[in-house]
Amino acid sequence: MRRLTGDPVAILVGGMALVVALVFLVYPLVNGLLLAFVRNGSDISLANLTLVNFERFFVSTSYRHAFMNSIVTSGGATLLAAALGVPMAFAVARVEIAWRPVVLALSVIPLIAPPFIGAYAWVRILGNNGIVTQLLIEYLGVRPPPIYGIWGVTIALALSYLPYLFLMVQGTLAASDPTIEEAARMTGASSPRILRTITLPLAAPAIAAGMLVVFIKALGDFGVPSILGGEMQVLPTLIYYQIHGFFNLNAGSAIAIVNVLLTIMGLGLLALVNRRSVSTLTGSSRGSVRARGVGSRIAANVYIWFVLILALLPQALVALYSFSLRWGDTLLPSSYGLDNYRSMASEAFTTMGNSIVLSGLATLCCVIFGAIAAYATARGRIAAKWAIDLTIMLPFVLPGLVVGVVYLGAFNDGPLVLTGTAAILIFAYFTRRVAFVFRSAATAVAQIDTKIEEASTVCGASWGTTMRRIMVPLVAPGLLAASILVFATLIGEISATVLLYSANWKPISIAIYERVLGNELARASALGTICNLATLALILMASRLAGRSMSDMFR
Amino acid sequence: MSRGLSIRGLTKRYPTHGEGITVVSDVSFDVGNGEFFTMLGPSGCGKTTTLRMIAGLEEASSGAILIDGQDTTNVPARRRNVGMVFQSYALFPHLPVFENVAYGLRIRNLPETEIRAKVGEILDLLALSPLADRLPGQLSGGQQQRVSIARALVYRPPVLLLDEPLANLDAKLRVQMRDEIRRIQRALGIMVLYVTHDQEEAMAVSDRIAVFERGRVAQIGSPTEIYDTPASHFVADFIGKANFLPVRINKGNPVSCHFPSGNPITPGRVIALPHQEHKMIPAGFDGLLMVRPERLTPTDGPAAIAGRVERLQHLGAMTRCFVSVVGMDCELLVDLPRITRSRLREGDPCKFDVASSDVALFSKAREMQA
Repeated sequence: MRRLTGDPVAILVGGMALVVALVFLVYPLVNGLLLAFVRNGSDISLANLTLVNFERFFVSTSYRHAFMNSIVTSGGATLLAAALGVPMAFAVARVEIAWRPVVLALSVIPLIAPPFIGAYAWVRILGNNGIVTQLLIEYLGVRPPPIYGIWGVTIALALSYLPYLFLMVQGTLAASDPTIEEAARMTGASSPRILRTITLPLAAPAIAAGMLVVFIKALGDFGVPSILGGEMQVLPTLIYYQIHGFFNLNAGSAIAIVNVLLTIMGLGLLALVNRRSVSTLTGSSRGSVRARGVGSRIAANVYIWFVLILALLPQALVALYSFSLRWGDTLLPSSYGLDNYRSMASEAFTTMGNSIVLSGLATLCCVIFGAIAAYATARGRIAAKWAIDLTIMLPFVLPGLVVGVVYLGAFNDGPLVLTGTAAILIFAYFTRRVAFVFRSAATAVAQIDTKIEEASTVCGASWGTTMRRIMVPLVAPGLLAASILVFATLIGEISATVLLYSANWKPISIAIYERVLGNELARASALGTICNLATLALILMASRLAGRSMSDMFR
Repeated sequence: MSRGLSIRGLTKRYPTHGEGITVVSDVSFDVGNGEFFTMLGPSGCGKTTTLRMIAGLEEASSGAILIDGQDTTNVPARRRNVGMVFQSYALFPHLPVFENVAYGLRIRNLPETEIRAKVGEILDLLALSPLADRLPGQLSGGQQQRVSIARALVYRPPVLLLDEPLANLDAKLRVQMRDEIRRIQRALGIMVLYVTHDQEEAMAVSDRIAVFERGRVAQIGSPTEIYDTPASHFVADFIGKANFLPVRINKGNPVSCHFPSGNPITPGRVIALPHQEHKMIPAGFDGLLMVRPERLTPTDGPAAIAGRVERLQHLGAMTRCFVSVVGMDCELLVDLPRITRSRLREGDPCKFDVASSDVALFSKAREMQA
């Protein structure tokens, strides 16, 4: 049908993309899957297949607890995020509030800042001597439950991933066709009745999808439970201790599979919800109608800023902490200065440099591979929808710790040894983020009419010329924005990094993590603030390039 | 034929399930240099696929495409040197008008001065010069259309292909643009292959029309030939308005027919059939008599058809009457020029006559023609 397949350049490019996919995506995953079914120390072979690694979920209390804790903290975080996020989405979308763009931009910050950087700030907020704890005891006489353990992990996870849910629900509520609610009003329905019978049912799919995103993200999070968990373990931390403590890749792979299965169950639920959802977006050019009453505006503003302050408190505290010289049992630090930055300057410089190199090269790989794969699926004969659906799920299904485990298993020995090199981090980052770049590129390619390519061909251009002069310039802006987003979020990546990094290539995220574990919180905060600011600046740049608001880029 | 375009037995099959589906079947025609040739048909009839095979954007399953005597059937699209205008215009959105038009010349590595001269010339011809620095997104639909034509013409291809070029324009602009395309085609004296589903558009611009029906060419001819002497029930129905009345063939020579259901007002009225091939039809054969609505004339004398005016539509230049025919289960369309200031009112009885040169006979089954 198209003459693409006959072009030697196209075949070469496509073939290279296929090799990369096999070596760095398919091979580690299949290998990890097999490792889980082999006893520690045995080779992978048919005779050695066993279920012994999974048996521990039934016999070991630490495994059983980790399993339950994962479900409880992720489930709790999901419910808490929904309880806080849905009313906030409603307030932002349906009430006329001041500074809407500011509210939306601020709401994204918890997503930009790596969750583990803010996690230990919760100790300063709700710990024994925390700010809120002190205020609560002084004014209300109540002492909150201890921050280390289920309670703290749940709160920190909920507030870290709340923006995903908020943005999805807010988007749906803001875009829904006002004539539907007007039609309900014409039949004589009261406002509460419309809310109950029309608005909420129409927003339900977005709420469910948002909740599942929070659940899946929380389930895969390593940084927060490893810092705030205390004695409590969840599946990702259990994987970490199996590898770090015993270097038992087989046990680690088995836990990873259980973790992935839980995630897939979540995704299955999401698919069910999506199948039942009805399209609420119509061609109406009007946005939804916003309440203008003074009472609703005051209530909405108070609530919105309450949730925003709560979600931003940890990051604000990290910034404050970074300037503190002494902070004992007092409410606020007793003296301030730049000493933390001064003492961290050279380490920040080296580790940030490492992070930039690692993330930059990984991003480059994502862009090259993602763009080629996107073009092949969007324009070639491959069943595009199937591939795109699969890759949308890939980053969800594979939490960072899982990618870390399968990479250790695949590249620790055997034909290709990469452990201890920068390459293993680069390719692990690639595996975690390529789906995102692929999707951005696929969307960009799909928006370009195939007739434009045909017009170029009819004008006499070869496949290569058409790519260079037409397709690449058209796809570039969207792809650049996506790649900056990937680059920025990789700088704070910890859950795959923590298993794969080596001393020569220590990124800034690990440097922060080590300081937190060493209880050098002020210095960790200085590094964390540098990391946060760099990430924020990059994402602002990306949103400028893409011509989209920051909140749109995370939807 | 050595000059111009020659299509021989062109066929396109998609090997989907089992035997596959054939979307273009054994299409053959010749187009001379300087001719405006239109492929006309309803959507899904294979006209666009035929055009895309000529452009090289689809591979032909069998058959041959010859341009100026050269077999180009297996030449890749980019080496065919044809110009093409797409329904969606397919302008390069990141390039200004000038660069869009210059694109094909840059591919051909022409010197910069020559590019400037040729692009300038074609922009002038299409009245686009003031817009040379604009991006496609800053142009109206009609302007984008003209840029797209300029881009296809600038390297002087022997054939210009246009795929439903006016479909995205509003009604008034559509008429204006089709005249513009015709003007440019005459000014440059180039061969144009035009695809449309709009029969009025095809009639207005074409030298010759090929009517497509389900992947096959149903008829090729000038606009008047196709309108006046349609080769099949399908062509008659697709081009313009037509009445199809069930008739039975009489005995005797010249061949004639009558309405078998009987018509109480004009009993025994027969209509002579004009064409030579009608002599082959056996007496008693039941067929469909095709009459164009404007060929029916009101009469007080001996009439072919009698009925009652059910509805009148005033369409400006003419009045369209919907007539129920006495004793027949069909509605008759009659178009009367407004000048006649017809005395007809809704509910009036009426009688019409028709000249035997203005009728055609088709068999009742849609596929087979008499």
